[in-house]
Amino acid sequence: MEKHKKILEYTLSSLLRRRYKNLAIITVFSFIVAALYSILFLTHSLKKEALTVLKEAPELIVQKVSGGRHDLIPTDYMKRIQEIYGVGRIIPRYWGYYYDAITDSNYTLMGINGTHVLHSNSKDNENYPSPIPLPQGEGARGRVKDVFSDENIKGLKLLNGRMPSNRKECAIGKGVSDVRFTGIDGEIFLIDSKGKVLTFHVVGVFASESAILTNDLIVINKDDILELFGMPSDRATDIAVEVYNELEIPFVASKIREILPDTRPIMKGEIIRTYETLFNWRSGVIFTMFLGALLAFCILAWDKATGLSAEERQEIGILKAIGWETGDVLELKFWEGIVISFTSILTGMIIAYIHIFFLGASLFAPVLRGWSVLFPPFRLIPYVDLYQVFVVLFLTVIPYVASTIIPSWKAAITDPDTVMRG
Amino acid sequence: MKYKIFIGLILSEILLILALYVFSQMLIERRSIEITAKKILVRELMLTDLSIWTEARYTRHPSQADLFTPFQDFPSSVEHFPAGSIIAPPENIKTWKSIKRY
Amino acid sequence: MDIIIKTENVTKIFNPGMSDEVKAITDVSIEIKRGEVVVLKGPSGSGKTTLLSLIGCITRPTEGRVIVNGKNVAKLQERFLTGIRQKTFGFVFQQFNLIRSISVIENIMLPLYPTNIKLSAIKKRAESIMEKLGISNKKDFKVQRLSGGEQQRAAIARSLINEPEIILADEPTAHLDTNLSEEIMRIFQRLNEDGKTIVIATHDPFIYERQFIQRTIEMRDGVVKNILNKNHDV
Repeated sequence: MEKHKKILEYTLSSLLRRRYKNLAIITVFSFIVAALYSILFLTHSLKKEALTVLKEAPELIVQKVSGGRHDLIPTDYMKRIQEIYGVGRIIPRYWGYYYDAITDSNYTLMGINGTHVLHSNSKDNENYPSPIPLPQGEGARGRVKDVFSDENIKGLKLLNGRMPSNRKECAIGKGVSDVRFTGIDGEIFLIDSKGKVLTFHVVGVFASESAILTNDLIVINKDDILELFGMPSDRATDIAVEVYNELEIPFVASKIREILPDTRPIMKGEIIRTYETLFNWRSGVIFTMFLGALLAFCILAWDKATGLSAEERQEIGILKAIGWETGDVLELKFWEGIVISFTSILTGMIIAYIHIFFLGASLFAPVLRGWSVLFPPFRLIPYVDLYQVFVVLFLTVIPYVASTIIPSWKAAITDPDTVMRG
Repeated sequence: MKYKIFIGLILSEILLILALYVFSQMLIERRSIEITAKKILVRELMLTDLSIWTEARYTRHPSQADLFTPFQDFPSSVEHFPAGSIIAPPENIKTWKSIKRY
Repeated sequence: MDIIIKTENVTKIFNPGMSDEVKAITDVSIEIKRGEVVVLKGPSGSGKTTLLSLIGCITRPTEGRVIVNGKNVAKLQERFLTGIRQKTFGFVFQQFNLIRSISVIENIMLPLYPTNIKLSAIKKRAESIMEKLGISNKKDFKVQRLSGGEQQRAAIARSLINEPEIILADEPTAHLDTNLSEEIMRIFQRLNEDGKTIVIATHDPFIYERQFIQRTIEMRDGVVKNILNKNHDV
């Protein structure tokens, strides 16, 4: 123990000798580790949140496909789907995109009415492990406006104000409210398919906590959306299908394809899978961008490691001549690697955590945002995957330590008499 | 006694990381109510996607888009991601687009 | 007086079998008694340094035996050699071989770092040696800020930290002027009076004239030419 302490002591003196060089290595190393961990923290947190939250998405979404494109779906398809065994409620969804030339942004418009929301008694409170008691009974659930106005749920800060219940009313996302400089009791103008200006009265603004889901939403009445988009009244954007038994979803989906060959059912599992791969892919893209930095660092480490300088070689020779064993010299090199890599990795980890969870990924946001106008602020929940943390730890510490020890090996095993000859 | 300073430094960093981890767990616990709220939103509004990138169908609703259709927005639409997130489209395209769409 | 080091027909060939093969010493047999001061003398290239590193277990002979304290070390494994080096020898090198940019005291303490002796104990020992050699005021100086004589004294201090029985010095006065050489030799004399065996390799006539040197082994072209007992054998 004493021996290791002293070798560590000498390692530190030795590192301090070239303090600017080593400080530079630690800085670059920390930066790379911070970037790496930032990507992992960000994508893991987003992914985890998406996967948790989207578990509540409709079991099946049925789209009509026409000419290889997504098309409006006739509402009488609902009757055909209703005949399938195991199917619960079937609700048409009315939604679409609206490009707002004034602010250069895209909104997602969504039409609702009081009766179209999925509701069933089969999945009650057990799905919500919430400390707040959820409202019970028919009246409290199943109707958007009731759910959001319920006293118990108000604590959840879903919405300031209320959901639209009459025509020409709307509830908007925080992003829309910000970009249009409007709020509750304000107004929003939208231009319909015939070029006519429609004015909506803002009755609710979604809380910023939910921006990641609602940032670009404008929720209006179903009849308003039909008018705005010029949709025929017997058409919907797509159809949400409730399936009682999760295990039967694929069966119901294939049944729908069978009886309605021009449709494309999207299963909840596919949504989840999309989000799993999406974030893997996106983090892959950012990862690739940092690969350059990583490679540069590898070259630096390689150069530092392989090009054992004459000075270092002589130092090893001196140490051996004055009674250090090969093992002691290698231990010195081992400590050198450990000191640099641990300091860097721990510092990088802390920087990454602060960057992602305290500063809302502020350094990445411009890259991720691109030229988006409506980009939600990241209020990330600090889900951390320990497995990822340790994988990065091992993938950075071990190669670095190895690249410090291995080149010294040869110098450490040779007889120290070269030093004697000066 | 440099090694004592070093070990102290490393230990305090580890402690800070542990503290951050514990803090994370507390925050997850405390913000579970937010998650519940979001679950209700998803369920009641029948949402399928996160509202992060709003510039194209396949970035706003990746789970709903059919990725086999080219030019999903309109034939001369500019690519959005990843290129779009690094390089903004030329100003004239943007104005042209807004005139056209308007 | 017992024999502490003995070489028997020792030959050392560098890079054997290669084009740059060098036969450094051939068939050397010498004996060094405990408490003796021996000078290996001869021009450069005569094999003094090689013989010194063979005695000091820094390198191994190609042929022959090297016996240190009654033990043949010629065929020992590296780690045993290190052990013997650590316990038995203190080295003073021609180039001082101090590690630059760390403090003088750290350089002196360095040989004992890979042992289980407490850092504070080593420090105390280093301080007392520095005191003896008159460099304790330079304790925290970086090595490169010392003068040549101070560096050599620091190097000697380092060779003493492990309390060796034998001190091996290779051209200890090569970079020093007469006054400093005088001073260094006085240190060696004092160490000898304390009972240390000292072997000095040098071609500096200033050294072989010293009174306290008991024996001079003259080398030329890798062989022992002449052994001169300056003082009468005790």
